[in-house]
Amino acid sequence: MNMTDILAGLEQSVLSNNPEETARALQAVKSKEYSGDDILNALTRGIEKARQGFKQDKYSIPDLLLAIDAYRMGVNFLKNYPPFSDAQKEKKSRFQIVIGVAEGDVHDLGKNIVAAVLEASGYCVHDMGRNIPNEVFLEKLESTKADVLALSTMMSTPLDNMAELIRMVRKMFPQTAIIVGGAPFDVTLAHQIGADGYAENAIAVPEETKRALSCITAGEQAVASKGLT
Amino acid sequence: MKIVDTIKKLKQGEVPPLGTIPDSVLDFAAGASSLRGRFQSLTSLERVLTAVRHKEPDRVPVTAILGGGARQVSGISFPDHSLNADKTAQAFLDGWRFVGGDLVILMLDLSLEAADFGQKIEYPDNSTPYPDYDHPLIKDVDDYDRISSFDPLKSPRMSEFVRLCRIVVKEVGLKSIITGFVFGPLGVLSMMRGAERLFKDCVLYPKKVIKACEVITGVLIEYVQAQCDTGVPAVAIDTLFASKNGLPKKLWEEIEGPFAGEISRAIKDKGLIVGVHNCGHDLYFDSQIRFMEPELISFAHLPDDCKNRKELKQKYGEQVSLLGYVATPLLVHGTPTEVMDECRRQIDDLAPGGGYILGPGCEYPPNIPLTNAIAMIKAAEKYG
Repeated sequence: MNMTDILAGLEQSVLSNNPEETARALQAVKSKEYSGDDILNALTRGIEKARQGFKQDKYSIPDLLLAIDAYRMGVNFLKNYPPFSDAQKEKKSRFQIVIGVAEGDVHDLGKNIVAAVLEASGYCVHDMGRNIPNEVFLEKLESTKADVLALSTMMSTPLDNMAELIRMVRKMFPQTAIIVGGAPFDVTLAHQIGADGYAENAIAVPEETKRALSCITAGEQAVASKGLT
Repeated sequence: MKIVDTIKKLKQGEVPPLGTIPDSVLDFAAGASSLRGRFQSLTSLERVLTAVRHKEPDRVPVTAILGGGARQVSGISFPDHSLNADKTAQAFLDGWRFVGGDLVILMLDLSLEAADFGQKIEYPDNSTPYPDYDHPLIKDVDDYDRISSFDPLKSPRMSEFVRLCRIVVKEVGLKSIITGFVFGPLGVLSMMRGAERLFKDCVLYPKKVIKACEVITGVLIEYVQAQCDTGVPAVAIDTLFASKNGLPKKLWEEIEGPFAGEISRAIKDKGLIVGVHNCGHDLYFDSQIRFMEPELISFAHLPDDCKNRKELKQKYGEQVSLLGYVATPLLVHGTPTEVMDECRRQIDDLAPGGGYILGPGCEYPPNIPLTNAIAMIKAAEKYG
């Protein structure tokens, strides 16, 4: 198998619904002299195909979840790929995103998908998990100087609390863009609650994040300069 | 059921099991109600039964699907609303009397069944109960084999729910239709495993999941039969994962479809109406109808094979009655006028010919004011 075939195999393994196939593809990659960027690009192409396939109804949520697992398996593999992991540490120009499920809700499936899609789109994602108190979000925004706060809930009961968090973020971190998503939201409610953007699903989230960022930062030019896809 | 027994039930203030009455009799009664409804107001019972027989009643029947929201009327805490049948009944009854409506759906938190299988549940004071996903009952795929059967009438939450049905049926009598409720086996498993892991297991280890569904379904069948015995005229099955928020259609049909069918048959064997509740996106009307043959589907979004609600009515309007589908976000942020306008649009498209009940797409949001619940009731009265 030539080098291109091996990378294509890795890309295809992300879509295979078979974790063993991804593990085998990564072993095959290990035996050759690939750059970390080549490997990451193959994984990213795979997850992007899964996202597009989901958009076109070719893939289901379980397919997308398994593709994300495969992608993450590859990213973890790269953490032990010394030249690449060192180079990644130097890449400090990426936009930082803090993401989590609001306090009072434990539904994190949608948030997990969105976090993986944002990661594969080039963002540095800090996934806080589910049922996260407001003060924990604020501490993370402070420590990461995050560009974006992505908040999710599938229930209507945390909405008041989310509105309070958004008010605090606006006051304390006015340069942070806020996007929201989940079952109780539509565009109108997202704006009423004070968010800059509303992502209806994982398909829409990369574009919506860019749009929200461009509202907060110095416009599209800043977005483009950080090399987002 | 003999006509004498039907009359006896009615005299006792209970709705007789409608499935035991010949279709011709029900159609005749619905036709007569429809005719009478042109000149007089029908009772809620007549209105709903006329609609589900696909005849036009005096006006569109309506329900606000007040679950946790009804607590606001009685001042009952979320934990009491979930755990104490007397208080839950008080909340449902107070909510129904305050807001109105023709149908009372006894929808509680979706962790109810999982709690009795042994899943640890959190009961916050200000929100709906939820599973403690840091301690899932099914930690790895081998744990599916460890799910075991039990008697739901001796388990804390399911037995309380059955008691709730009994109390509400007795209090409401013939003034409204009361609907029991059960979460389907995959839903119950999602509460014990987490939806994300469950979905992946459905692809990677379907046999394990099916085996667990089999055990759970056995318990759920006894549970719904016990609900049926309380005198509720209908039971709704929640098959949320028969939608694009859940499994692909074929996989749902392979894994949960047959079990959902068994639960439905158990309800029908008792002569009751089967409802389906599914608030997922692009839900599979066709599959759910094929497996469960429900009389009614409560939905929040259009099915996967319909582009708009006129197409929905045309495609499925004669097979099932439709309940829905005012959007949750609109109920949260909309004014009562906006909600009533949306109700009017839905009534215009879905009500002609009967077979339609106006309501929200899912449970009325528990913590928001009840003004938009009242707006839906007013809309049915004004535009229905």
